[in-house]
Amino acid sequence: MNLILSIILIAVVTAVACAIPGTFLVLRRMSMVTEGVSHSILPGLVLAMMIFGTQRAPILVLGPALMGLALVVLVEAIHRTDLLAGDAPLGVIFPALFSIGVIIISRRYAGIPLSENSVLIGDINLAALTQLRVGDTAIGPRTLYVMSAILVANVLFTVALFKELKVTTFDPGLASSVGIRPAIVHYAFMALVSITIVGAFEAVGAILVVGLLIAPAATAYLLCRTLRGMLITSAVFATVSALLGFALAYVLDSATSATMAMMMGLFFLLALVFAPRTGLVARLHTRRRRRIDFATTLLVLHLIHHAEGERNAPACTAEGVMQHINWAPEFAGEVIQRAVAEGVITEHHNVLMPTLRGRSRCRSVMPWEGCEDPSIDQPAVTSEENQ
Amino acid sequence: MSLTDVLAMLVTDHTLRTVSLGSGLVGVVSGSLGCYAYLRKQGMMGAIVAHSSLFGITVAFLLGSLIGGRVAPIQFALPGALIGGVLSMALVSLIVHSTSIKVDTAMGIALALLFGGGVFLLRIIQSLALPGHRGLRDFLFGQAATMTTADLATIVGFSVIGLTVVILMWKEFKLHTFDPGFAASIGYPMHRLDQLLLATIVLGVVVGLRTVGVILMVSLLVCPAAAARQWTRRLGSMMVLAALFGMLSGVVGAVVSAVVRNLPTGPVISLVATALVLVSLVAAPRRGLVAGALRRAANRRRFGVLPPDPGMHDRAAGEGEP
Amino acid sequence: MSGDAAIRIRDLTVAYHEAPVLWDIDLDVPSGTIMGIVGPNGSGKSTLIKSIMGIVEPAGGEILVFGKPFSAQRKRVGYVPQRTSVDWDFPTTVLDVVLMGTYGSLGWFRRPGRDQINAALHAIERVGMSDYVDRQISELSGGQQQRTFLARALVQQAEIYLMDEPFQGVDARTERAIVEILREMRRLGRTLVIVHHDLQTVSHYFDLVTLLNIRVIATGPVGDVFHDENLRKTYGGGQEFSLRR
Repeated sequence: MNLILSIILIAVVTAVACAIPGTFLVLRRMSMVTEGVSHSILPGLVLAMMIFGTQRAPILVLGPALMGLALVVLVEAIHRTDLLAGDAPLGVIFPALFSIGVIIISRRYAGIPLSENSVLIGDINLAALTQLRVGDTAIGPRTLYVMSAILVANVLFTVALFKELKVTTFDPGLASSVGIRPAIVHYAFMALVSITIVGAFEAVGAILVVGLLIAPAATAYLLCRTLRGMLITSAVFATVSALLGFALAYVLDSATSATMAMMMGLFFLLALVFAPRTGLVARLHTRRRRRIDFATTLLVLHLIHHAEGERNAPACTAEGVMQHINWAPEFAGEVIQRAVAEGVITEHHNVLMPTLRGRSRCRSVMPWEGCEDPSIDQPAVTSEENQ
Repeated sequence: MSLTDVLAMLVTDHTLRTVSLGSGLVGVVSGSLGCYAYLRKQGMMGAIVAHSSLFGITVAFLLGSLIGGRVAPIQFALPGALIGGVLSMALVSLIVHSTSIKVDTAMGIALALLFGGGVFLLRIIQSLALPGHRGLRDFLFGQAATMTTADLATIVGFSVIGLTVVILMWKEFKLHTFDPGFAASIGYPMHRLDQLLLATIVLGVVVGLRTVGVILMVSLLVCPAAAARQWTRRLGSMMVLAALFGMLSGVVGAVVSAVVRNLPTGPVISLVATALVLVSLVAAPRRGLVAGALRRAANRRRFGVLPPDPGMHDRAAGEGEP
Repeated sequence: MSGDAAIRIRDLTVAYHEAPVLWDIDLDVPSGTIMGIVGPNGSGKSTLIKSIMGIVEPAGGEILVFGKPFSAQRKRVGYVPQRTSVDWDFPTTVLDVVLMGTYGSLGWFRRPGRDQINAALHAIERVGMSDYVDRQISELSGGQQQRTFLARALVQQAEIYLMDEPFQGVDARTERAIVEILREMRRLGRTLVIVHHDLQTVSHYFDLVTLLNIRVIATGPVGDVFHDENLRKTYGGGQEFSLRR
């Protein structure tokens, strides 16, 4: 197989294989656990390589994955002692495990084909070169086969346990009551996440894999409303980021894995700023519009309260509004103009009065305000009237 | 090499003296400033800040190389790291405040963008073989052995700033961390204080990057504080103890890695710091696991049954009194 | 009701993401009284207190404390936050927490001295916590935590106190002790505004009550406004509320 094609395929398959469990990690608020798992598989990998050599793929995946699962259990146990606050159990344990791995590599560098650099960012070129052999024939990059198998496993797991994953993610209490054991789903899922991270290790290293897991899913979270949509969208973003990341890294002679992760981050930024409805631009726009809308309703309500019984009261002039509602002059002017234009108030000789349309608008926004007929439900005795 | 040899070298060997002095100071600063990261439950944020600072480091290095001049590009690394760290905090805060995304996911995004971006630029710098690029490697896993007097001066500078802020703002930081609502009610500017405190924590991360590295710096930020918390009941003593634990980790890690060949400093410091936490969890009086087990055993003897553990978190102790 | 309004609120509206949390609030708290604020969850009780202190930015309206904006009267107002809003595993002691009540008058950078410590010890004695001065706060019971907060408020030497659920999660004995202290504070001319949960005790504890559910349903002397009809309006018609036992 062509080397470049191999690299591209490995990049895409790895990215998508990560994005699928990433969706649930984001929803289950476990993003940072992956930071711990990804660091802690290093000692597991190093030990497995020392003991079993570098050629036995299944053991080299399952062994370190167990280490990742062990970290999850250990951190949960420390958390239960209540002695360490917040996320400190994680922050204390994972660097130590990672350190053990790095120290072994540094001291026994010769025996293991790992370098500090590849620990951090993986080596996708080497991964593309290492062929899987059947007998004497090379049948393609080993990593590609491993990651494809993991991708298939992730898809199958997600499809088969879709209902269980969904229920335990959104309502663990309900899950227990309908006979789904959240703990079993939790550990099965984390085992798969560990395996995915181990599989991705060779191509993208221990740290960037966190970005691969989280960023596409977070982007999809901003754009989608359904779980299914989120899964598909995150896979699409993962694919596009992998392709663009490879291209950019190729042109600029940088690392494919890092460029992929950066692309995923950039896509998230784009979604953060420009997403319809939820993006910053869209929200700034609607916020400004809603602020004026809200202020208009507030103005009408204010006028309703002050117009009853005390007609032509000073509170019902523009100045009175500014003083009572405490608005800046420009803002008050803008709101009054808008309210008049919309026909919810009228202005006669500087006195502002609510219109019928204004009353019905008020009532539709605040059903309990009873704006139509102020005699019902008006705020009861205030201490002012009491005096 | 025996222990006495090492101690003798500490006195006679200029390099080793610089290294242990610098690493010890790093431990003091990170350990004490880390108390706020720990108490605000932002330990993992420390990890993300450290990872993300690589982006600032590489951008600063590139800019330094472009500008040229007499200052070596590597000298821009730490100020760059500071900016990179602040950037990651700002990004996380922007995401959390403007979307419904939770903080842990926001941290993962910052990691993808800023650590990914950092490695992206690091590789380009290495491909271009810009002069001095080998020095950037030290920021990954830390290398205390190559510490120069200039590095030591930078560390001293950062330390003075960080510790001065913490001492000056002692009661303000304490109240703001413990009870932000009350702090706001007496007129403390909540956002400003928050920003200053976060910047101080970033400083506590950045000061040690050259020694411990962006990957494992979180250890020196969180572990001393986590260990110290087990032994004390006051913020002041917690901070002093965390500074001592940090210093111990820094000096031991730096000296061991300087003396033993092929041993990056970061992992050794990280292991020492974690060991301190584990010992504290087990052995600390009152809170520790051994103390808790002894207390339960004593209660079993006294009452014959297993009453609830009257440990640290038992709010019922003395209920109704006085 | 005699005396000036300690707190005067006009047309106060607070919105969160453009949804109203408080809507068109008019409220007067006369000086030297104890006012209870009651209402269901999410009715804006805590928000009302926070907007009086300027922690929450209002969308419109005006709040005056003794005739001036809060920012000019900060030192005349004390605050007791919800007990559950802080981290009780924070490494600090009872005395230290109570000393925090002096920070407002100390100003920036200055540390509490002998005078402040004496004032704190005195306040701790008033709430009956003298045996616990050096106790680590994580070792306190709920009632003791609340007493500590009350002592911190006393040290503030304010004229108005805003308290968020001071009886939540405390034992009966502490509740009685706290009520005693609150009444003594009123005798000394203090004004107390208290967010409260337990409808049964409202008529025993407060002079005035405000029934709140986003807007003010009713406010006034407990005997006048605290009746079944207003409660139904506040808590919704579906549930039956009766004050008769």
